[in-house]
Amino acid sequence: MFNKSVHNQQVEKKEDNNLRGYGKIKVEEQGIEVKDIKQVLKSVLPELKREKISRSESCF
Amino acid sequence: MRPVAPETRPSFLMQESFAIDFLYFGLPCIWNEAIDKYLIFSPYRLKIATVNPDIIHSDDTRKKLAQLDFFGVPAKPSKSEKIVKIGLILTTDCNLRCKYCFVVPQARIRYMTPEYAIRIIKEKITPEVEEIYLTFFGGEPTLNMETLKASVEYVQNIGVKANFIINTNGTLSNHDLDYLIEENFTFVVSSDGVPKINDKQRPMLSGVKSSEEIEQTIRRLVETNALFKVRATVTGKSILYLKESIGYWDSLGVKFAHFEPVASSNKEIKYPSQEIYVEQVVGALDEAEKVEMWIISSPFMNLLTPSTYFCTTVAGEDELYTPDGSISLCYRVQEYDHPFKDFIIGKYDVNMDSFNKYSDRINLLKKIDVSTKSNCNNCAAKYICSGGCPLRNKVETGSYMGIDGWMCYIKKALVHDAIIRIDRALDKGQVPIIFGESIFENLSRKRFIKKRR
Repeated sequence: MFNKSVHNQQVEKKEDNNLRGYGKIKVEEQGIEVKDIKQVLKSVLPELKREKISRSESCF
Repeated sequence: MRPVAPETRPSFLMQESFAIDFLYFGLPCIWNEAIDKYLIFSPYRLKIATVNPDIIHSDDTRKKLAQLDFFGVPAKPSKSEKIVKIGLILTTDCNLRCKYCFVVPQARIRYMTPEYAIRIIKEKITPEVEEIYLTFFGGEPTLNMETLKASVEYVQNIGVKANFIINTNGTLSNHDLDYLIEENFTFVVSSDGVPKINDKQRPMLSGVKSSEEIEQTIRRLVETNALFKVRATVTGKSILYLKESIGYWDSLGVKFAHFEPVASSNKEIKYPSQEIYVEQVVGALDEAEKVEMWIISSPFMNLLTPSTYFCTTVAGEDELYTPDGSISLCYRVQEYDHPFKDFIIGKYDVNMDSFNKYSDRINLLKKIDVSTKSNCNNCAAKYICSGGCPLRNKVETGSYMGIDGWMCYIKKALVHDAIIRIDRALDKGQVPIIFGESIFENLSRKRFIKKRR
C-alpha cells in the first residue's frame, strides 16, 4: 500500500564528506524515485524566499 | 522575421530533445533519454521524481506524487502594502553606444531631477510600508549621481528598511563606485564577455573599447566582496563566444553571470539560430559547472517560482518612473510617446502635483496570462516561461497574446536541459548552477540598509 511506503520512507544519508549531504526518498517498488532538493540548497541558502523574481525579469 | 547570423545557421536539423516533454498536472515532466525515464520536477516542494515510462500515465503514480506533496498552485500577481518596489530611470543619457540599445534617441535625452525622484518616493511610501526596494536604471544611471545620492539619502532617513540595486555599464568612476559599495548596493554590471566581443557590441561614445574600464569595476567589486552579477546581451556573433566568456568572467572573479538573447529593432543586429543558441548555451552551462559559476537566464530564471504571469513589472508589482514624468511597466519603454505606449500606465501632472494612472492600459496588461494561451496548455515549461515576454511577443507576432516562436523553442529546450541538470547535480550532492537567480535575489534581499539616525 502506498501510504505504508510513505511512512516507511527510506532516507539515505550520504556519508561521503565530499558530498554536501542530501535526503533521497526511495519508492523503488512503484518505479518512482524521489530526490529532495531542500537539503542541498540549505548549503548555500538556509532560507529560500519563494517569491517571484521582482526586478530581474528576463531583460534585466 | 529575425535576421539570423550566417555563421550560426545550423548545417543539420537538430533532434528536438524536448519533443515528448509535457505538463504533468502543472509540473514540468521531461524525458531523460540517458536513463530512459521521465523526470518530474516540483518547484513547490523542491523535489524531483524519476518515473518509469510504463507507469507515467497511471492514476496510481499521480496519487503517489500527491501523497509526497508534489503539487502546488502557480503564483498570480499580488502586491503587498508593506513592500514597495520602485525603479527610477535616472537618465536616458549614456556614455556608451551599444549596437542593440533600446533607449530613446540622443535628441530626447532627459535627466530626472532630485526633487522629482524624492516626490516619487514620497508618493509610494505610505504609513503601512516597511520595506522599499529601489532600482536605479538608465541610460547609465551613474551619469546622474546627484539624483541618485539625493534618493538614497532621503530613503535612509524615512525609517523604512531599504534595499538598493543599480544597473550600470561598468564604466563609472572609482569615486562613484566606492560610494555605491559603501552604501551596500547590489550591482548589475553589463559585460558582453570576452573583450573582442564586448568592445564590438558595447563601444564607448568616442568609439574606443569599454572592456578595460568594465574589468576594473569588476575587480573592485570582487576585492570589496560586493554582491554583483554581470549581464550579457547575446547576439548572433557573441553566442559563439559564450563558453569562452564564462572562463573570462571567472578569471575576473565573477560568481554570477546573467545572459539573455538580444531584443533589438536594429536590423543590423543578427540573431543566432535557435538551434545554435541552445547548443552554445548548453556548452556554456557545462563550463560554468566546471568553474562553479551561478548562471541566470530567462529560460530557467523562474524554475523555483512558477507563476501564471511573465514578469512582475508588467503585472504591476513594480513601477518604473522615467525622467519625462511617465510611469512605465517595462524597462524598454522609457518615454511617453513610445511605440509601445501600452506600457506607459501613468503620468505625473506638474500643475496638480499628482500622478494620474491609466486604468485601461493597466487592465490590458493584467489580462496577459499564460492560462489564456491555449498553445501553452501542455507545455512542460508553462509556468516557468509563463507565456514569455509580452513585448517580445508583440514585436514578433503583432499581439501581446501571441507567442514568440524563437523564444518558445529556446525555453522548451533549455528547461528540458535544466531539469536533467538538476537531477545530475543532486546525484553529486551539488546545488544546480541554474538556480543562480534565486540565490542572487535571496542574497540581495538580505542587504537592507538601516535608517541613519
